Amino acid sequence: MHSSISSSEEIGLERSRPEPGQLSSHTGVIALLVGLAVIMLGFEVGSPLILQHLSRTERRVETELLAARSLRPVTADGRATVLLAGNSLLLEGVQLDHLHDSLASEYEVSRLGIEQTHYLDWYFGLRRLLEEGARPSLIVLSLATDQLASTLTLGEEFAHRQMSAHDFPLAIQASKLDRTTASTYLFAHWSNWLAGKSVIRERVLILLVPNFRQLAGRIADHGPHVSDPQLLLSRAQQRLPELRELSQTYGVKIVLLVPPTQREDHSREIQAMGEQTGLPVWVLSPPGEFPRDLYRDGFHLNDRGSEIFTSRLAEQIRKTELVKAESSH
Amino acid sequence: MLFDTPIFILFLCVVALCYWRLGFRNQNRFLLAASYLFYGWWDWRFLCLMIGSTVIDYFIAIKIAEAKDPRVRKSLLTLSLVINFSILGFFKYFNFFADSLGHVLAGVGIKASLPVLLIILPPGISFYTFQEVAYIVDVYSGKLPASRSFLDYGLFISLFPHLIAGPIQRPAHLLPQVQKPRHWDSDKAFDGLLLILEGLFRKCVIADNCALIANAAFSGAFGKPSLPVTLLGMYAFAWQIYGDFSGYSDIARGCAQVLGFHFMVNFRQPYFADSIQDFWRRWHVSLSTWLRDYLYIPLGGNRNGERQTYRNLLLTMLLGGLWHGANWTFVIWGGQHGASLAVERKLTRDKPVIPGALRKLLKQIFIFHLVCVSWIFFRAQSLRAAWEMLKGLGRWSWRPEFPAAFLFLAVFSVPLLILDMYLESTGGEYCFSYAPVRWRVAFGLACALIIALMGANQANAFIYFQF
Repeated sequence: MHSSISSSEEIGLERSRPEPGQLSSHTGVIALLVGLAVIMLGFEVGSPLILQHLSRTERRVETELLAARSLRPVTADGRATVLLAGNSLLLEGVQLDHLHDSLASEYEVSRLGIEQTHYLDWYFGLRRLLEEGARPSLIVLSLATDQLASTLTLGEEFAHRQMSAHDFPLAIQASKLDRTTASTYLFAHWSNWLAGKSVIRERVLILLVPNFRQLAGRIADHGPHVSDPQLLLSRAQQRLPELRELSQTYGVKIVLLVPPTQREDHSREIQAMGEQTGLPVWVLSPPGEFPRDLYRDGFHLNDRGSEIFTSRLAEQIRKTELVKAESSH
Repeated sequence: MLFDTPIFILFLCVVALCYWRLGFRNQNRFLLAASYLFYGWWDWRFLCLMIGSTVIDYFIAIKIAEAKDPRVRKSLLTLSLVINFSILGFFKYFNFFADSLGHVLAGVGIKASLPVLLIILPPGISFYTFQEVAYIVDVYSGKLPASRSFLDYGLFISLFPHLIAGPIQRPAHLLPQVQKPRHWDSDKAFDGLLLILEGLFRKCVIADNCALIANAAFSGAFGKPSLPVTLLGMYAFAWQIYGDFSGYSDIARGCAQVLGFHFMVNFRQPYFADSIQDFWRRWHVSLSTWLRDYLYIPLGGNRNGERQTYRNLLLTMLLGGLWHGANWTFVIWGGQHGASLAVERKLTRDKPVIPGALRKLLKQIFIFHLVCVSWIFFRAQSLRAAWEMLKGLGRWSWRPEFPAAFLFLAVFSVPLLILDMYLESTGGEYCFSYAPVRWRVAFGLACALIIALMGANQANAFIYFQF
């Protein structure tokens, strides 16, 4: 039988005193703490620059965010402004150039697309955007129904980019976070590095592991999926009024756009709820209408699918007379 | 609070700064309050449970020490054991046993609707219960005087670095440290800071990244289990759990050293073991020695013949497995280790050890794979899922992302292997233990830089927090 506690463990590691010219442990502690502070400060200050330099996605999001903040109901030439907000289902499902071309004479369409985002990212993200002065005529929020019902967020990135400090308690309550995660969100709200470290890590891994992007899609943890119809509908029942209230508070029309899906997503029921609530829900293709060959991977539309969907969206925006009426004020 | 979150780093800084400004008794008062805050951060109700359990054992130990009559002493010991294991059993095993009994009854045709309670497992209950039991048993057997100060005893049980997932501290090692004044020691603090950084590297860089592959393999994201999927899952989890738990232990030991305490070593390069017995001398040492001293030896150890020894080994490891969690997968995991220990003893008993580097290497590789297979049971959600993973070893399938997955796993497991090779060759407690200070500063800063660049995105709870 061995002894679990060796003599060195009883007393800790015994070391001889440092030779003249060698650093002492006291200096070591100071050097280590100073070094750590420098590294932290370096990452904190350097992260935005590194991100801008390394990531095209980050550059796009920052540009779109800036543009969205400056939106007013009508442009200088009198066209109504439309903001499309959503995740990869929007980014891949709507051809922005095509939409621009279709609507250019009457509308100025902008997009704010952030991948892997869900309802709470956008509820608090839109709140912050509107508080900061954004006033498009119409906000089209694109979310699948299970994303509408989800309690997930983009984590630290959400806390930094989309959550405002005074929404912190509300955001924590809504996403049912424990105290430790909540405190990390609070730190991330102020920290560039915490918010951007996942992107930096991804870039390093792309350099180290060939085909990492392909692997990342497979191993990414997308969190729990809301599949229970009762839970899905009860969350929708609670969240559609939240969006309506946001719309009324800031005088901006908000609609929910449900992207095409191959499976039953209860979008019709949610559309009916929207009618009762006063929050328009656009279902431009019923579940299962788009055949499999219009999808890239079963969820995201391919070029052909997005072309069809974009045409329908353009038509729907054109039909939304209210936008023009509001914009003419 | 998780050790790898900003709030804990802030908490540790504030605690250490205030702590070293106080006198001895106030240091203990302050640390007890900080430890209770640390624990209550999850849920204040669990804090009440822990304090209640601490108070009971504190008074029972004093009564045991004062009692002259052996029968009274034994009754008090039994009372404490019953209370401790009842609390642990209720919170950890009630539903497991109710569910298992329901299945057994259904198997013999009896339909019984046994109650299932919505119980949340209090964090660290398995760890502090074992520590309390060790204290009571040591007081009973006269190895240790009962503490007359609730402050000291309370701090021994709840000192925040070891509270949630160990290392399970022996009363004879930690209690005297709590009872004596501690003075700032730069050597200890420097070692402590390096241990924290090495621990964070093991957790955030190695474990959390390997977890991505393990989770994908065990959740079916790579498809039905086949040889590559099972190997990916098995190897990834082996490095994940090692990085996770050894990282936690290093951070715990490092925090303790910054505060002037010393905790026992919990891991000694376990994947270099050349026998299962050797593995248990290197893996979760604080638990394996606890099981040896408070279960295996009281059961009779190896004193009553071979058959009894095998029985004791199997029983100890089965209970050790069940200690980890209320699931048959853990029982099978423990059983596999117990059976391996018994078989190994039978095969190697009275046989001379034949020296040879190649022979040793082959034995190490064999033991590593035996341990890896056992991890399948440890990681799987159910026996059926574990069996499916094992069956995957006999199936073949290929996906284009497998080469990247194996390379990803190598990127995050090889550095830990190299670190362990270095530690094994030097016998140090951590990297560069005996190197000049400037090298050790460089090592610490390199760890911090790699953590900042490569630490996985989301803070994952330490695996052993659930136990």
